[in-house]
Amino acid sequence: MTAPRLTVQHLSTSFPTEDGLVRSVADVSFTIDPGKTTALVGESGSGKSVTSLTLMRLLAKTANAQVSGQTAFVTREGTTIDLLSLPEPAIRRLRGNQLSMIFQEPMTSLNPVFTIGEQIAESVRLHKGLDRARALAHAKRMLDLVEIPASAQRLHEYPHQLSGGMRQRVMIALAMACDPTLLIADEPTTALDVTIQAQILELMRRLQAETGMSILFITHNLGVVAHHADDVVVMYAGRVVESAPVGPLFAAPQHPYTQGLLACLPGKARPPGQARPKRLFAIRGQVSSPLAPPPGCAFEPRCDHAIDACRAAMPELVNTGVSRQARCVHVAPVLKEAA
Amino acid sequence: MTTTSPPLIEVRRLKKYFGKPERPVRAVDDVSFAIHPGETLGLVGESGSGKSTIGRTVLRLVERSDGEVLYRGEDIGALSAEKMRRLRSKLQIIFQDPYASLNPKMRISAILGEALSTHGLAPGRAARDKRIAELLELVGLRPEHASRFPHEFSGGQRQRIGVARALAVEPEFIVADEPLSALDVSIQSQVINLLADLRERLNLTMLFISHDLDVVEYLCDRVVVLYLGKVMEVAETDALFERPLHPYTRALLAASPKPDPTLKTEHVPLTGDIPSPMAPPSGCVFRTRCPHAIDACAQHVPPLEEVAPGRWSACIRKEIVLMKAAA
Repeated sequence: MTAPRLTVQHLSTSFPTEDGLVRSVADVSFTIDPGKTTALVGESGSGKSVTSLTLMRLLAKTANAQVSGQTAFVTREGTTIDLLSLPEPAIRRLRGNQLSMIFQEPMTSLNPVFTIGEQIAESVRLHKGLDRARALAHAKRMLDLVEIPASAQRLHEYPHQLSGGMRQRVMIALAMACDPTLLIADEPTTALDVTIQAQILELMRRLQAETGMSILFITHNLGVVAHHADDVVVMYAGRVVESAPVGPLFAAPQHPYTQGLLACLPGKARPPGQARPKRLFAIRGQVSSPLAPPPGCAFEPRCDHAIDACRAAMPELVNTGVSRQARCVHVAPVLKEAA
Repeated sequence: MTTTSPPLIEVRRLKKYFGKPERPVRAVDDVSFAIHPGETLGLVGESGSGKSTIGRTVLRLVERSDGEVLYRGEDIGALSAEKMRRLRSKLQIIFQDPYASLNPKMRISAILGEALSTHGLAPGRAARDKRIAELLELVGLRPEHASRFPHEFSGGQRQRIGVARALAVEPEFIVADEPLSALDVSIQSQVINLLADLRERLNLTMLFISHDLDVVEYLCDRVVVLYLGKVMEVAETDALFERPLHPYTRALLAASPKPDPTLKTEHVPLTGDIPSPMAPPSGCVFRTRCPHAIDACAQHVPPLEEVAPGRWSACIRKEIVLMKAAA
């Protein structure tokens, strides 16, 4: 078994605010294997995006984020480094090169005053030292790679001249330009229509098969997770509540939040050939404010299985099987075996 | 569900063009459908398919360019402003964005009270307060919430207030325009249940606009599939999801991933982008992305024809549509 491409251990990110310290990400641990996709799933405010921005070291300085924890990222050259403690010039050399990111909104993440060719060329000139002409030629190859028709012409167009799906292809071309080993995709298809989403997901899958890159796929769409992830990490209120390979997670979710999340999907409500149930399962209440988290388990106020022990202390994330972890007092830990 | 009662809402050859008459944006182009009392009709399609414009045109929030919208057999487009204003208590809408659709400077009591006083319902302070408390309880909020402002509520709660406002005037017909898409999954199911409960308790008729096929499958009785302002297929929900006939419906269903890793969908993503509604393709608007398109598809606009009882499809490649129908 090869070492994971990225191992994240006990990652925490907090922001000081006027109303107190907000722990957006608390004690998050997960791994991404080479050539595999790990999905980070959760609802608004669960800390998915802050996790990815912390890993990319893209949090604004003015946010005064307090970050703790360790990461082990295996570079293309085979050395292991900690993304969190790397000096700024070193992380700059990695970002856009070995580590790439694509965002939800392709319109706001592309620069409106540069042609798309110039934007793709910039990263290869910076990281690979190509001259202008060769960088543009590389940019054209990247547009071909992401199946943009008439790439020679598109190279000289501006972002506003492209459709949403085309822009997201350009974002992917930009991210892929330096052949990254890890791509972080933060809700890459959320702003797109379903038929365009299917195209972009298919493209990402193909590029992954061709390049062997790892993908950290951040999404709230469980349908996309089911078909495009190898491993799933479920987050709630800044913490990992469950992680498992995709098959076992959907077949037998262990944490009450994951169980509830899957049960409340209308797409799962009707088994084939049976009538629609009158009511959908619903998780009651809403996420507690990050400024006033409950004393114990963050999900306890909404959980149907809550007992006194849940209110006493935050349960530990324990191993519950091969590559499976869950954070719930009802889930019995399994001693770590040779997996 | 075949119903013999006359339709509550009937849309006939509705057109809505925006922009200059020489080069219009054909947002809605010759759309017809009927909604029977108590029925929930789903309107699905991607961006630019005209779903929201249809919803707004049906309620006369925007004026149509051509065609008719009949409410109980009467064309609402021909009504005087005064008559239309009175009729509005029967026809209501729930908007997509619960953050933008509530006035941030108004307390919840004023938001709901305004709807009541506009239509002369629950006159008098005591009656009004009682009705507001009833409405809040109806949507799962508490009466004391009436004195709060919208920013004090979460997204799901705001959408409940949006529902309460629509219900305040005792409507018969509600247009729900993507009422769930701004909400998180766990909150979505709460609002779906609320809509389903209220529909049953108050015998509401609904036009449910959504791009989320799973939600449409769960909530709707019949579905109209739109593409670029035109109807591609109309069918009862179960029939549509079990056996989509039109090539676009099939592509749309195949593209939307089911939350189950063991279900392998036939994976043929549509190539290309949705064309601009300013320059729609000639003939069938879907032909530029259709895997079955032939030369004849560019010649004529395919008529919406009944291919099986209660099932309508606009596609000239009958052999492909019917092969699917028989399969």
